Amino acid sequence: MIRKSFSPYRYIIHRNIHYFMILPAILILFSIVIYPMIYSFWISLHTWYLGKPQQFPFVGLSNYYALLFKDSVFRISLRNTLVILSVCIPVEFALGLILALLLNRKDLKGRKIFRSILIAPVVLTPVVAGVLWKFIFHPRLGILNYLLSLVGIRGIEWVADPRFALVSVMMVDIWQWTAFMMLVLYAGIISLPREPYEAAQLDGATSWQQFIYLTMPLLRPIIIVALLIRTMDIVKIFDVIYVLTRGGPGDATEVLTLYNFRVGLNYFDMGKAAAMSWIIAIIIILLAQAYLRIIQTEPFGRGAI
Amino acid sequence: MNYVNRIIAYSILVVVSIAVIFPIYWLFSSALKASQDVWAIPPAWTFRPDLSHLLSLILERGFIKYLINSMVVSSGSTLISIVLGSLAAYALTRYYIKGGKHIAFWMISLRMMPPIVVVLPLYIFFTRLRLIDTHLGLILAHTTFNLPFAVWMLMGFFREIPKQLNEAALIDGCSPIGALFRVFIPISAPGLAATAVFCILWSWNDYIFAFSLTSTEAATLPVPISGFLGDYVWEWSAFYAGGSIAAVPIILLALITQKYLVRGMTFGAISGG
Repeated sequence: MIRKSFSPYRYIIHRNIHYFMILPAILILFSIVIYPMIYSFWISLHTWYLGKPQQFPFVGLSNYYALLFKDSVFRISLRNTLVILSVCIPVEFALGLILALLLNRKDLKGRKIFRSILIAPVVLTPVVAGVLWKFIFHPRLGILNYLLSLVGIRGIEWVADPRFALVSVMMVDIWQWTAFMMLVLYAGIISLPREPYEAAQLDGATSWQQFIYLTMPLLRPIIIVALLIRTMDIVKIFDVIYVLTRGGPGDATEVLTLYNFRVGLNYFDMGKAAAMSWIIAIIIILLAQAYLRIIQTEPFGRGAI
Repeated sequence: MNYVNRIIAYSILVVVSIAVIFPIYWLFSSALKASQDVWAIPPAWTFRPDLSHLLSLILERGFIKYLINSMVVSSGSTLISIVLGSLAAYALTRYYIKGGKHIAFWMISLRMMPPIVVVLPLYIFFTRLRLIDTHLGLILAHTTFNLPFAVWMLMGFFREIPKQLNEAALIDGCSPIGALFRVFIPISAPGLAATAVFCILWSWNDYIFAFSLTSTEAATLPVPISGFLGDYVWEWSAFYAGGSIAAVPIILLALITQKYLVRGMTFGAISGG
């Protein structure tokens, strides 16, 4: 390639063009994510109320200490998050797996239609899903209690009853996200190699044996990825619960991010809120590390990263 | 499969599909009901379509503004993310960059962060910079999540392009930027489109940023929609209509890009069927 004139600046830019290409993204991310996160860590070491911005005493890790060992609402919200995790993830996984296996049966007609139907809630705006279910759950005017009354069950107060509030939240989550499990597992199943199955069939394995000894082990990395992503989503859950119950009645459906939001933008106790958001962030970072480790070590078929 | 198993399989699929689709049917059908039918128990399964709630939202309650806000914010943040994301993804996949792998991992970890971690400090910054309740502010806030996602996804798509193509383009006199725009972007156009759809989807559905950083002027659809559920008054009809306005475009978009849905939702780890 012949250049008309040689300019040292052009030469420097040309030699380092890849750094210039990556720089804008890094700069933007640094200024709107990294810097705010560092700033938030700095706040978390202080007591700071937005209403009294001048007082900014350094308190070290005492915000963290108070949250982890002294704050009963934090403990309740952590427990509720764990309850949602331990119920929703197994249910969504089991249902999703059954659906994925059914969709994989070549002899069933209309699989595309079923798939398209099941996708809809996954992309539905969470706030819309939340308000929609709040209406569906309405004790007198909601459609759910009407349908239940047809089979003789009456008068459940769903989101207003502390015994049912968390169940309601979990029902919405299962309704919205089972299809995610199904889609991911289905994508995994159809990407599995054919040969082991042919060999197993020659050896006379039943379809149940093929499922237990071939499909499940081969699918293991994909299953773990799906479970990790859902776990992170549930740790971050906010929108649906915020519109459905606001954490109530009482603390019945209080979860980590919701309490975090309230402490920050309702009580304006920024130090405590920042500390809590870092605790949530650390949980997510650990899960994300596990995710990255798996996608690095396991081959994932065509679109592998 | 024998006859009995087939019936069991179909009945599972049909029951689950009805359970899944019924609430969405309920949302759309109630949006077309007159007020007295919305409340009716037993429900009005058949009714005369009534567009008055949809029209009053659009004509009287400024839903056009919120719809436009949603479009402006999601397309703005998507555009920034795709442009900067494809530049960074090209550099990260086609050049040796010291610590490049760490940069990529660091980015996708940012995408997985809970929004609440960023919302609180951004709220403080934006208040000082007077970016609260502006389109620019919300676009920047959404870029925090869309840009790392775009970089990560586009790296996956770019990596599928053979090295030789890039080398051929460079030998034939393309600059690296030229190779990106003339070779990489055209070849991975479907992937680029899928990434864009996911950015739009995320931005469109976001509530926590929109709710904390905007109030009226730059509010996107989820903000007024959640407002229909007041402490004392629930506006049922207005919600059904508004919720449908938010839901229809996004569900259509998702159905069109079904092929890439799994890949997007698993951050590129698993390519869909």
